[in-house]
Amino acid sequence: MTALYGFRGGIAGLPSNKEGSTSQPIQPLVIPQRLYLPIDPGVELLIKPGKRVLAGEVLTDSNATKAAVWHAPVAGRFVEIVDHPAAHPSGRSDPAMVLEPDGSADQVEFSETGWTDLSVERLIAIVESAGITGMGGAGFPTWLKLGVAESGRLSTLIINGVECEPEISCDDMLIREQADRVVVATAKLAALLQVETAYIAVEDDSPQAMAALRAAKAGHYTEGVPVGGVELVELPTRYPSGSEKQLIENLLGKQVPKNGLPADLGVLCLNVATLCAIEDAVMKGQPLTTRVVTVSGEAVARPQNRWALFGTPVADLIESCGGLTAKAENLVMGGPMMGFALASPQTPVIKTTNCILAQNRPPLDKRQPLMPCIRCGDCVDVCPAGLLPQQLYWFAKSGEHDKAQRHNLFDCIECGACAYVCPSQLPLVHHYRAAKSEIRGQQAQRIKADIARERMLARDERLARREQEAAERRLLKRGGRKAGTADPEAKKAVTGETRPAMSDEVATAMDRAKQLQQQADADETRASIESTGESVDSTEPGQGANRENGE
Amino acid sequence: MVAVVILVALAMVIGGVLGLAAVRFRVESDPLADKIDKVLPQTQCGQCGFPGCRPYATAISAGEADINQCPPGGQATIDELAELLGVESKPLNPENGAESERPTVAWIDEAICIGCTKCIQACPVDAIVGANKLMHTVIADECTGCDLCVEPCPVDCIYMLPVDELAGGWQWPQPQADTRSTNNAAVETAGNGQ
Repeated sequence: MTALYGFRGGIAGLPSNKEGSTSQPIQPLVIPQRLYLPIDPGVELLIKPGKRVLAGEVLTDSNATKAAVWHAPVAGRFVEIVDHPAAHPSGRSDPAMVLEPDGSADQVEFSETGWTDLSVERLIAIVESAGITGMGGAGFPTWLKLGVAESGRLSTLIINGVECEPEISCDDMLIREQADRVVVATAKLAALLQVETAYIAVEDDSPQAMAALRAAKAGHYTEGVPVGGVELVELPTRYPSGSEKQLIENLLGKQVPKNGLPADLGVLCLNVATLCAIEDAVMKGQPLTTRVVTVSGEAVARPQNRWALFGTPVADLIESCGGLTAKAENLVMGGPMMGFALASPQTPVIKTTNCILAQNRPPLDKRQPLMPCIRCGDCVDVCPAGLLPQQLYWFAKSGEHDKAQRHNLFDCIECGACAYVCPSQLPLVHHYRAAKSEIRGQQAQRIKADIARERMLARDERLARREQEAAERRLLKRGGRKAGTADPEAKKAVTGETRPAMSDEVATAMDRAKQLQQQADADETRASIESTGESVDSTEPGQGANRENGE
Repeated sequence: MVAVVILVALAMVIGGVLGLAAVRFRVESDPLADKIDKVLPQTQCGQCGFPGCRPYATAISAGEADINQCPPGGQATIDELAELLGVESKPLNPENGAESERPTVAWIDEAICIGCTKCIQACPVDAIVGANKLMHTVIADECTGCDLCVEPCPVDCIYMLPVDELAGGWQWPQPQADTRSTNNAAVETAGNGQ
């Protein structure tokens, strides 16, 4: 039995509400009328609307963006591209591919590889082309995570079956039904990545899952496979023990460094469903197109776990679970602690959708009455990241981003434990999220401003250089005409000097002009008497102009 | 007497060392205009009446311009400038334009573009590429949304489009209906709930 190190904070004894959804096996797929697959920005479509696609056919090419590729979940017609509500907290509509299943079982031919003779590079390529991203919550691209294995820094593999959030039971049910597969895949992956230890962790509120894993490890299913190295760990039920950082701290007694990744500790942490997806991709060549979703909440007629195709509208999914008993006040994607409210029931299921909740109570940030923060400190006690949520709350609310960052706002894992225990019902996590995204926006703006400043300076420099070059060219031309000697003062005239230094020749010419001028003035005075002196002036018409220039 | 001599000698030695250090290890101080320039959004739009953010920053530092002439920066920039310069913040001068709700980026309708290069010359950050009689296009990532290319276009094929929220980073909204730090606020929100 592995000794646990525990982790800071957390809440024990949350009402788990998993009895409903775990009382029956995972229900089979129901194919909806239409599937809506989101098109990530910058992604290229490989199929034109109007074409027929086979199940498993690659629809997008995302080499440019590093987003996961999408495959057609079933055979059907790619009808059109429409703006459809996105599975995103903003509730906005984004372009989505509309797929109309035609009911046939036609699929592209999958090429299996198998675990034997598999290299790490090959595995990474398989995972990437199968479009596998983390299915536990954040949706981090799994092939990037596996990339650490290539650099040889890996020592521990953790398969995360700890479903600490209330209501969600999809991973639990997946382990119960496919425990042998989970154990074997863990052993094979551990052998391939050459890690020292491999853990499969589950929470002690699901003894069935643990029993299934134990049976699988000991049982005849795994004959011939060296599964002895896989350690099964049961964690005491305490939210958020399934969070990656907390799980690592609990198992290994080490904390993921600030701004770091588990890879810095030599740890690779994968969700159970992600592991199964990798296994499917390796053993059957099958891309990721389905997942288990928990449909739960007070307003759902028959809470259950169900296989769902990506792109299935939430409304169809709820319908296949007996529909709603009452009008749900709050439709949530994800769990009650970390999920977000859906703006539309037409929102499709995506790779990270582990749970759909239909609740009778309003979302946390709309609950009344809100009371002021009384600085009771309950949130400090439960914060698993060791932060001061009440301080962060003040800073986030008043826009004091500097102070919020100094209080390590970005180490907040947004688990919602602080908001749950808050006696004033403050939507604390919403404040942190808002502050975080504001800070990120400002940082992005600052970077953009710096680039703009640089480009502006570069342009100014270029324009100045060009001007100078043009001026020099002009001078050369003029200099050619004036045969060299006039060059220096012509240059000064261009650069705008008001009093050009005179060469000897010019100086004498000026002197002569002055003398003539004086003579002319004298003549004028005489002319007023004699009116004959004009002839002297008219012989030198350039003199007057010269004088004007000089003054 | 001895004490006075020692103290004077000490003062001279220390003074000398300090004086030397001041010359020798001189830190190139950040002039005021640089600091102001850092605060400005670098849109280079010229709405302030100066040809770019740097000239405006120089003008502010020389006391020739007010701090409320930058519409792209909006109130946030004015507040920051006020704090930097130690003066009272004020609302944006409406003569310089209105603060825009969302950032924009220029987009050229390439089917209409005749390749006159006028917009390329107008762009303060060289964010438009193209050549004479060839189609032009905007490098959206480099565009500051300054509008300066719109006016010179002889065929009006440049549009200012709002920056895509997803690309520009969608921001979580601040939760509304929150209490203020006083006890009265709780009563107010309770009243709102009814």
